[in-house]
Amino acid sequence: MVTVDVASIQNRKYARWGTITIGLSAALIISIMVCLTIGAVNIPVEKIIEVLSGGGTRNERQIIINVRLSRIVLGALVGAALAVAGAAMQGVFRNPMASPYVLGVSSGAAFGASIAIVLGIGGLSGTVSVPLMAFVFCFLTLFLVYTISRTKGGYVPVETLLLAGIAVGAFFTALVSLMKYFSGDQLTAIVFWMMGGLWDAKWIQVGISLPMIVLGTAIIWLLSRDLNTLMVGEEHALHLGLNVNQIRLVILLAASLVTAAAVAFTGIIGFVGLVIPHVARLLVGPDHRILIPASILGGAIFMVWMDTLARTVLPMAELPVGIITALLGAPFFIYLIISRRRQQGW
Amino acid sequence: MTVVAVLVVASLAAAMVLLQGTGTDTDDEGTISVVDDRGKTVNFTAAPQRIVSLGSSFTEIIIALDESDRLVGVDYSGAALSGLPEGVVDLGKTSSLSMEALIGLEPDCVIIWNFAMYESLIESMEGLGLKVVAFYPKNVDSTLSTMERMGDLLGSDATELVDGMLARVNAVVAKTANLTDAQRTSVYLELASKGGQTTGNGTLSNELIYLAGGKNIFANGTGYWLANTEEVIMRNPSVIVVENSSARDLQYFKDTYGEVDAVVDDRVYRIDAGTLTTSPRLVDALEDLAYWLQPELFPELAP
Amino acid sequence: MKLSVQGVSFRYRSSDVVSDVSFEASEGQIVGILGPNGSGKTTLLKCINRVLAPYQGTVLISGVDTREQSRKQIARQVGVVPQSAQSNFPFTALDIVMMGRTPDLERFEREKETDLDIVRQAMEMTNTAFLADRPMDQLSGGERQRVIIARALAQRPKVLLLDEPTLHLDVNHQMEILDLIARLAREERMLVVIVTHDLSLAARYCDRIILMRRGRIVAAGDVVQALTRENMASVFSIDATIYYDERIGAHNVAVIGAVKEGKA
Repeated sequence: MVTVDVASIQNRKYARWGTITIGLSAALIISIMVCLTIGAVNIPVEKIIEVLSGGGTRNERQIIINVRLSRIVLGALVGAALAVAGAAMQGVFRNPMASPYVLGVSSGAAFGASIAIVLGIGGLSGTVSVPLMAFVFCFLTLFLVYTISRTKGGYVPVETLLLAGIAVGAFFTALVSLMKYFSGDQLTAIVFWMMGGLWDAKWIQVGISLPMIVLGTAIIWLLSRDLNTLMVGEEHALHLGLNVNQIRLVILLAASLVTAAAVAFTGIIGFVGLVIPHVARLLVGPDHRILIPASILGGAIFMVWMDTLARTVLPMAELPVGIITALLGAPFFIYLIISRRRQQGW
Repeated sequence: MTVVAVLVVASLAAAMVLLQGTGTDTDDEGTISVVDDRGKTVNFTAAPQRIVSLGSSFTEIIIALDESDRLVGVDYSGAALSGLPEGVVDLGKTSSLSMEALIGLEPDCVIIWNFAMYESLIESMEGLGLKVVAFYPKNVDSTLSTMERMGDLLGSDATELVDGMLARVNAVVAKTANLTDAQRTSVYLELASKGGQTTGNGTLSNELIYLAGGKNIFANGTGYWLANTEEVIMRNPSVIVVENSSARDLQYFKDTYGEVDAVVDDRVYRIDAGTLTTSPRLVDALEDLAYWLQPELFPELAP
Repeated sequence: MKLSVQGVSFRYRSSDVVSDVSFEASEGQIVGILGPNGSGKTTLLKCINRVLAPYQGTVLISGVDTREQSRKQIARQVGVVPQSAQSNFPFTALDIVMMGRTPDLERFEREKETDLDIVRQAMEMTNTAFLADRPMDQLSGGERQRVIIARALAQRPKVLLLDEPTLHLDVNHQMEILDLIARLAREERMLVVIVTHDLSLAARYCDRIILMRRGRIVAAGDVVQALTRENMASVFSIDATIYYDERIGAHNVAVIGAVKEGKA
């Protein structure tokens, strides 16, 4: 009788995963170091190391630590958050076209931010009010979509969630247009916020978003096995004893938490949450136990480089990074669609 | 740079002479003729009494000329101006203007910005028999010229107003025209009304900074854009100017740019956003800037 | 170990899909649930492991009410092979079978050696060991079916529920699967409930048959008792007889022709 050495297959798999994780982590660290040298003025690596270990002139420290490093770290966090949220959404909806914004939270957050910008509430510089409103409206949107989709028995069908997301998202988009129309002088501010960018990155933002992103990511990763089981089919998962409704809700909440934490400080950066998990799945497979870490690290690396482009491609100016991720992400995604058509796989 | 300042003053003077000459074109009895910025000559048999002004700059000029009782309609930007009489209708944004509402006001003159995107709108208006005058002031020079011509249009003498402004401008320029590059104060200007963008050459703000004895750290760029943080730090501005509608304060700039000169010397100033426009108030902006940028030269301008 | 279904009724909206169904089965038995499309067979199956909650009635597994057990606890006793098996994901066959261990593992517990052994055995039993490394979307319908069965077996269930297990299989594979199921019932003392509309196979392999029509049990008993000519005519609108076939050592059904519908 043909048998199978399950143990060795598993061990090989775990070893492979370990290598991937270590490799990507190393790539992230290298990316950070390299991108620290790039900027309006290119600073050599030795100087970077000197500053990071406590030396360097005041201006060098300002540029490297306060400007570049805070921005790179925030970028890595946001990239990781959006990628893991995207992976989670693609898992919950069993749809490789899902993104963190599939339930309309981006429009909701934009509306919240535009209210804060136009009404100027929160007094000082909108550094508090805009992220806060964006964050709150992310969850408000999720709450709306979820409540609309609930059936009598407390069951929440996935298709209804998607439809409700489209509807609620469209509604908030219209509201945002309304805000823009009446915004007068703040129109440009709203438009820039929605394009998504890291030019206002500060360490305090890193401090606030970090725990939320870590928490949400941890929850999602710990539910990897359940996500795997969900992939086979909702019915199958139920038969295997999973409380599908509950797990879906928890994952949606965790994904929304990291998305909200990212969006609050950087606006609507698109395509990261869609493309990174997709690519990760093609490279490391569908098992969420490795897909999640790969998405996290891949998203971080991607965003670090994208933002480096954003702050250097135009002389003297900042290009909102959301524009770059869309400009690069969309053609790449088209390429994925075309090749997917050929192989009909994920 | 000094040459430019001299040229500016010279052309202003020349414009004054020329415009004095043409002034109120009363070749025919009671006929008023104005050449707008399209190069088109618009004729009126009498000074218009029912004016729709689609631009806050124009509305401000009309108010400054004390002719605001002839206004019947303004656009949304003019609706908030103080000095606007009761009963003037707010027509909303020009780009989504309702022709019906406009015609309902029975205007005998429509003043509008000569933007490319308003071309078809202007055509429609003229097609409906409305008299349209399109101006596009971009700097100090053209603002004064616009004021002159609007004075002609209204049959009102703008000379006093323009002369007064010119005198104040010249008072500033006289002291700053000869400043060397090193004597000029470097400025970083951030416009909250444009989403936090800075400005380069070719804009009114840039010109005012120059006339006030400063130099815009981003004068080598054009138009408006979001300034790169590192670039600002590297160019080390001595002064930072924001609009008073901006929520950003010294602490914010300290957090963002660290210890650039403007932060260390506590030279972050807030300017009235309404003065950085091509209207009579630009002299206020000029004087504010002059005092902030060259306080030793302009002690009399201290607030 | 006994499975006891008592007066189970289920409805989606206002009309019953399953109506007052009761039956019992013991370990080592193979029970066939037969009926035309829409008779509520699949729904009944899902009521047994409480994936669907009946609004009336009780299901007892080894004397314990399923309402008093968590989904996970039920999944440790009841393994299900559903009708559909999605193929648009590149999990390997081994990954799928490994999922059968989830009811027995704590949330974050790693698979232990015993778990790996159980998975290996399940794959050997279903002859899917050679497919271990292959992605599911590259397998044939029959191979996928066997992998899902292996997954159900990896749960080490006392009760095995199968919904149309032979639907996508070649005839030889059909035999293989049912022989396997028969062996599981006989040697592992598993209680097997099969939903099928294949009368021949049901007659051949089942110990007891339950005939359903429009949500109700029309007849129940051993093969000969249940599959009478009258019953098959009224439930399936066919003229068929059951007979004992010496060559296979079991019963078989010969379908003679169709009968006009409408006969009560």
